[in-house]
Amino acid sequence: VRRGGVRFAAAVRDWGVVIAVSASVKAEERYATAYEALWSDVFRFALSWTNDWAAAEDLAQEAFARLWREGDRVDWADSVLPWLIVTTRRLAQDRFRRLRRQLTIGGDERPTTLGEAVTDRWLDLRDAMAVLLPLERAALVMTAVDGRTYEEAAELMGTTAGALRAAASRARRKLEDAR
Amino acid sequence: MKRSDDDIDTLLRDWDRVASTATPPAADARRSVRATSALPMSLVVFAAVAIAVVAITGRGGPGGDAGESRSVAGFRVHPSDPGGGMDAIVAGVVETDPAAGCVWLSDSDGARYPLVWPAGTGAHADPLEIELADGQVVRSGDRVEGGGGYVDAASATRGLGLEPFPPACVQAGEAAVFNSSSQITVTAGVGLVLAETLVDRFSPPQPIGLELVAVNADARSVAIVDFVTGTVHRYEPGQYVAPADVLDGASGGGGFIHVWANGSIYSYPGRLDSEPLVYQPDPLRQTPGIASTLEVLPAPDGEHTWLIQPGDDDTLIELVSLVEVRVSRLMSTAIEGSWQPVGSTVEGIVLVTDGPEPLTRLVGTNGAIQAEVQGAALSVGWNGAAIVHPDGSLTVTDALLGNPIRIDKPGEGEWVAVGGPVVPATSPPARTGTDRFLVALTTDDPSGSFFSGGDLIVVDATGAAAPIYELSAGSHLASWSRGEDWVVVVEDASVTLISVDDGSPTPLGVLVPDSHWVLTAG
Repeated sequence: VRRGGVRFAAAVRDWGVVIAVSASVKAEERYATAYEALWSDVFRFALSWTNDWAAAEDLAQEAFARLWREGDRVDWADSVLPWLIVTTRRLAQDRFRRLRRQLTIGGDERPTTLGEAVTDRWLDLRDAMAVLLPLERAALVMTAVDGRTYEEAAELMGTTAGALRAAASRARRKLEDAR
Repeated sequence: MKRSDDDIDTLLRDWDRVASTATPPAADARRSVRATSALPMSLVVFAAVAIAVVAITGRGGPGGDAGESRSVAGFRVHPSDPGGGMDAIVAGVVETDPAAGCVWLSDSDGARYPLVWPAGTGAHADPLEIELADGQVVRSGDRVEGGGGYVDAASATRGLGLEPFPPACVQAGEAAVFNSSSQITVTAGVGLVLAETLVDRFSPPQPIGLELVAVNADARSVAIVDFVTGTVHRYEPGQYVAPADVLDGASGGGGFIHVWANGSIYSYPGRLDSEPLVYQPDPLRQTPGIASTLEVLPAPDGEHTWLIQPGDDDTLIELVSLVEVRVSRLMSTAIEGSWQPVGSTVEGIVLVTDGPEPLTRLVGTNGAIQAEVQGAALSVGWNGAAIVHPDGSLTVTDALLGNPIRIDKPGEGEWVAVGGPVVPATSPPARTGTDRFLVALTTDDPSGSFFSGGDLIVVDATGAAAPIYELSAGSHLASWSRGEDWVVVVEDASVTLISVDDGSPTPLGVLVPDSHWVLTAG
């Protein structure tokens, strides 16, 4: 079966079916390029949203896994970063829902992939940022830390500049008062 | 001691430094990601052989194409028809996630259950459709009902020798299982592709208690967007007891949907296809050939309804009770002057005059004028009102319009209302929260009838005001979900949900037909 230049073959196993994708070299290359170029952006967004190092790593990986699976439905003509950011946010919200349901409040464990030298500093930063809501952290990081304009950040996150401006403003007030 | 700006900048620089130490899991992890999706060529060859075997042996569901049925990963069907089964009624709205291959039954609480369909049912992917053994086709958004029961999802498939449901499809732990030979009653949805709207775009932590009511007044067609079930249903005359005249307005919330036309009110308990209460104000003010001035506003408790008939010299106000789906008239009064209703608090109905010096008045449930203050109510909640004064300042009051608290503007602009229909008509405004109010700051001319854009502001009874969304120029309507955790904004016909927790918007796109106007939310 031919669809958009990508060949598909289907594999049957009992009642479930796995779609096997024999991807073109072009698809492989564009995915690899996106992974190299954008993983850090996606991770930083996930970290700002969750305030949880391990969760951010998981979310970034899952977002790229979805990009791989759904690559043929993504418009590659423009940057796929907005797609990845919005996907990450949705995945993060799903994750929070699951966590809430399980009544497990995590966050105390030390990140295993973070160097020992910076782990303590990260834990301090995490505690300081914990007073903020996810959108407030993300607004602050994407603009004040990453240097994007509110309009650019809003376009990436699928939100409005006004919402981000308000969130960043609230975030600064909260950080001022939280000491 | 407070943090200074420098302290915060240092904190953020440190965050940047630490976050920059993260490195992508690179090759290994990336390969592992691919390994979950791409299959080795040997398996692809096996797959091709397997497809051929299935095609030849025809072991797919009789109701649909075998190969296509099995391309829906979460579709499960009784492998045989031994007859018998469970005694419960399985009913709800079908929802799908084409990407994950999930097919759910969504019940009235919004819980989703993967389904086991009767023997002989087939499925087609792209667009995802279920074909029953009797030839009926079920699409996302349709309501289905049949015999069966709800059982543990793992047990449901194991007991029938079926492949387990994909984990993503199991959300409530249980599956809805139709009996193997159950007849299914299918009620078509409106044909809007729900699978590509609510399911893909919106998955709230909890179901949102909120409905949007949109009407095509001339065709007397009503569309209900129900966020609890995630459905959009459109009712044409013949599918519901419709007024004979062009619809003048609609309002919802509190368990009833009210539609009125030419002085007659149709109050439907719950669903629009239920038997309505039909009644008129007494007296009915009507000039032949001129549309009625009637406005209908639900009271906060959902059991009482205010009927208001503005006139040139006075305004007739009536309060009726709809308890036990029966109308009883509680109060009738006339107040001097022409007044328009804005909303109702627990103490009575709030009305405004639109003269050069606007006034806001509260008429109590006993018919007496309880309070009158200068300024125009912009937003009315159950426990108070937000009132803009002639000098441009905004106050919030209690339910008796007393104890005003001044609100400082969080930005530039003039206070304006955001509630109300998306068409320039005098239908009731959207319902607002119990102690928080939705208003807007516009930086353009606030006296124009066309909203020119600005910030949507949540104002609370303590005097705090926070922008939560940037409203675009054009039509607008905003209302709270019943839990007050979400705000729904309608711009033109596009619907956006805004989380009050974190301000994040979830754009849902156009959920109602072009021919319909969103009139109210509640």
